[in-house]
Amino acid sequence: MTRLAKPALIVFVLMMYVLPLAMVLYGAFRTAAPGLPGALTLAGFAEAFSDRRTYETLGSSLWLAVMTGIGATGLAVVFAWIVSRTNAALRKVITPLMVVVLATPPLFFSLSWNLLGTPEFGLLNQLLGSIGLPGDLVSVGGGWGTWFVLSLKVCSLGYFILIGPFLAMDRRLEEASLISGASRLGTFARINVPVMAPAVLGVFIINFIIGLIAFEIPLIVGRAGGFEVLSTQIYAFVTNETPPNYAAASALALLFVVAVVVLVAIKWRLLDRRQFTTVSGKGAKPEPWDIGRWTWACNGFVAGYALLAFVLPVVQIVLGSLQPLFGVNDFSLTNYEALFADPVVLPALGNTLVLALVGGLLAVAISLLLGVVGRHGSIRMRRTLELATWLPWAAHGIILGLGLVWAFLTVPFLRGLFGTVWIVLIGLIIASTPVASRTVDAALAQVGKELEESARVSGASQLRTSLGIVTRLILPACGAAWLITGIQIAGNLEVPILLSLPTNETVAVMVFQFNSQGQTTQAAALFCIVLAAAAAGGLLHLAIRGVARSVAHLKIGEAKSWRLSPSEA
Amino acid sequence: MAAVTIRGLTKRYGDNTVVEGLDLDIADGEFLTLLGPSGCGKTTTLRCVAGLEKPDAGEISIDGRVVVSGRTFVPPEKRDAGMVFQSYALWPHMTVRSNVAYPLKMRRRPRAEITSAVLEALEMVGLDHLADRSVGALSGGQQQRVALARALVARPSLLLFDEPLSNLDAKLRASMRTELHAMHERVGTTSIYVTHDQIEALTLSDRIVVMQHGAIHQIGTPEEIYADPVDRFVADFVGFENFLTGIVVDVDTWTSVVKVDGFPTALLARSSKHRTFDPGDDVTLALRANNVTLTDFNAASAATSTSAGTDGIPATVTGVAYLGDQVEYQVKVGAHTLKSRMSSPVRWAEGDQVAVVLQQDSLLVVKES
Ligand SMILES: Nc1ncnc2c1ncn2[C@@H]1O[C@H](COP(=O)(O)OP(=O)(O)OP(=O)(O)O)[C@@H](O)[C@H]1O
Ligand SMILES: [Mg+2]
Repeated sequence: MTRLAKPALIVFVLMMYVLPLAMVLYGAFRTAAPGLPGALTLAGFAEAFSDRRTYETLGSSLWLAVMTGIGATGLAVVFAWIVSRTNAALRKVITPLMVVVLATPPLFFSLSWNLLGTPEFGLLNQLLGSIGLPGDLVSVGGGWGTWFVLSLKVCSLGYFILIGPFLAMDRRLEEASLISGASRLGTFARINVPVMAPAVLGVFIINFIIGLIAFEIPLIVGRAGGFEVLSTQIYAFVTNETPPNYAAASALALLFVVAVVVLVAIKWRLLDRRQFTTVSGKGAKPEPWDIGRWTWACNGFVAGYALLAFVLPVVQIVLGSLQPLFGVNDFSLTNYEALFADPVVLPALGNTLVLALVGGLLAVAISLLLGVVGRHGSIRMRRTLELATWLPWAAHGIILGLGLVWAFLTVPFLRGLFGTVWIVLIGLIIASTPVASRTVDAALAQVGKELEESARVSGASQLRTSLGIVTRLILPACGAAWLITGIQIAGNLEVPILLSLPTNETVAVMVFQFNSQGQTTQAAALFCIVLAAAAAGGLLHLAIRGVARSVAHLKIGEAKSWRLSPSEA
Repeated sequence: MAAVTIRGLTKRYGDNTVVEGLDLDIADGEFLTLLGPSGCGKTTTLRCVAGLEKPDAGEISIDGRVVVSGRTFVPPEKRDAGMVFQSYALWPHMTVRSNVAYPLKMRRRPRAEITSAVLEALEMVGLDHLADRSVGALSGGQQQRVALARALVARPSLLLFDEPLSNLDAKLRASMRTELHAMHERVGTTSIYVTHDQIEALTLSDRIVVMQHGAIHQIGTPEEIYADPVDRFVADFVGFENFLTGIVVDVDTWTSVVKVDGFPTALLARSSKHRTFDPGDDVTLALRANNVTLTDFNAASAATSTSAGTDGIPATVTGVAYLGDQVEYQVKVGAHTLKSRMSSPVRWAEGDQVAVVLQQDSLLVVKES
């Protein structure tokens, strides 16, 4: 890497990831809306924090954060444990299921559970009603519903963080303790718990943060039951007041940013250094305990989760999309016909597709660049880059959108971009970098350092090694990262809801609008189109990998026969 | 081929100084081994030579060209070296052939030359029939050979090995050792080899460097290191098991007479080439266990052995271990415990009285390290 490239990269990272946050800070002290002349003041804070409702929503947000921390972490631990430690038959479906849940945007869960939980008409209530129970037994609106849906969705992330350490934990550790005379329970308390505690605590903090900043699910599920949290309150400050109260929104947002930065810092200080030393991978082979009759409990748990997190929501959204009015069992394609007849839908679909493909690709490319550079840079450089790409996480969706509004309207040469699709693209790239970057980093971590060093000693330059060896080795993982990032972008509501204009709306915004105007079945139909596209992308990805693999086999086979024939002749 | 010069090499990780002021000269065509206990900085030194690590101070030149010094830093790909890694580090997405061809491709050699050079290198390690296998489908020993072929193929001026045999089982290790030796005889490339296996170091090297805590204790041929260690650390490392401390009472050019507490007579010991001693100096005597012989205790002979000779010192057996073709005894002479190894069968048991005979010329005066 040349001398100029490093500073350039850092400046780029600062612009992309730190500037929007800094702009939130700046905006919180401004009297006027972005781009208009104004003075610096504390009015925004005064307004936001003198309102009694702010403290109520703050309480709700904290409640949701703690509960999501408990619920989602608990689910993640149970699933990781089932996969790594039991012989339950259904453990094999957990990982694929988790991939699907992780890749599916929160918007999907909010939409479909909103329908599923509707009294009398929701699928769940109809099913329960048909066996003689009251038809309004399940109602997901409000705090508990938000918590439930959020936990279903979010546990997938924790699962992928925990499954590595759980699988790597050597059974020998437990056996050594048993042989030393500890009981099963004593072993669990003295060995398993302390060994896994750092990883589990880390996941709890992540889930806590997610609970704190979640937007789509509280917006669609929670608000229906009168449940407000900080993120929906921020959104309300911008959209429900005329003129939009950007200062108060920013002041609230700042509260978030501080909380999240503090939590991430705590997580790093306490946990990350230990996390890698907790489990020895050497010779570790996960061998399941035979848990006897408990197998059925485990299988039942997995099946129940699959039903609630995947099967029922998909069935509901597909059924809903075929109903003219929600709950009216008169299935037809009317909604789809109406959608395709609507002159704004097709452009929005195209727009979203382009955003997903381009934005996903760029987010993966940036993640790869940062990952490869971080791999070789000093610890300080690595930390800086990592922190920068975590920041958009701290300033999730709605806050990021707010920051970008400020950034694009205040910084002179960026002003021209406001209202164009570029600002939406940039926002989506920033918002999806954490996901892309975690996926790419995980793959990078699999490439041993010596593989690179041997290339260097063989005479390959740094650049050539990074492209020819490292990138080549993780190419399949990059493909998967692109797909997942693309889906995240297509389903992202938080960013475009503040940044896009009617001329460049994305499908997610349109779905939300249909939904809030009561056209829930059209919203379902539109989202089904997105799901179908995502599923097609997934199948394409699998097909490409399959073809690539068999081509590789063919090549080796060909080469072999070419080698053999002269000696046979 | 190239000579390598290292001057004042220093490498720190944070506050931890791993290599400190290391000086080393490696002659053209020499096979030099870095030997030392785990964590002594062998790998770090090797990686500094390869360019995989930037030293904090010092200078390295390869074939007269300075590769590290002050602000000069030649990256690894420009150092014309070949390296065999402990983990082999074969690229899993390439076949055996492409792995081996890689260094040549990086050097932009013509295609025809690459094809023939790769085949030649693979023939040399006996794997030409597996050229089109994927490297995942090879055994550990075969992978190691591919790694070796890859390091050799471009005829680099310097070969670096970091414990290349440590992942192999004992038998395979022995045969690979022989092959490596033969290969070096044939190719003659300057080589630096890192190991903590004494046998590997003794059989392969022209010279051995014994290191501890990032500094050099001794440099010498295998014979010198084995027979004439400078200090207690090196002696311990090359298998001396008995150490006695005493006071020099008399010296001449080759020998010293040393009085050791608890021994009835003063002991005659070979002086190390590396140091001269004066009467009155405190010294350490080193002695291998198989140079300590036991005989039946015989009061009469014990009484007559009054010369400065070393036979027939009365002792008590305190431990016996059966090792198959050999037996290891622990005996107590005064306050000292000595180890003795003799051929089977077991002849004494714990508590027996024996006479200890220290073989002529086997005692060596070493520096206390
Ligand atoms: N990247 C690193 N960061 C911090 N300390 C390191 C690093 N690499 C090595 N060390 C430390 O430097 C010291 C020397 O390490 P080195 O790998 O050179 O030892 P070695 O002699 O090769 O040992 P071994 O025989 O076990 O391979 C060790 O104490 C090690 O802990
Ligand atoms: Mg080492």
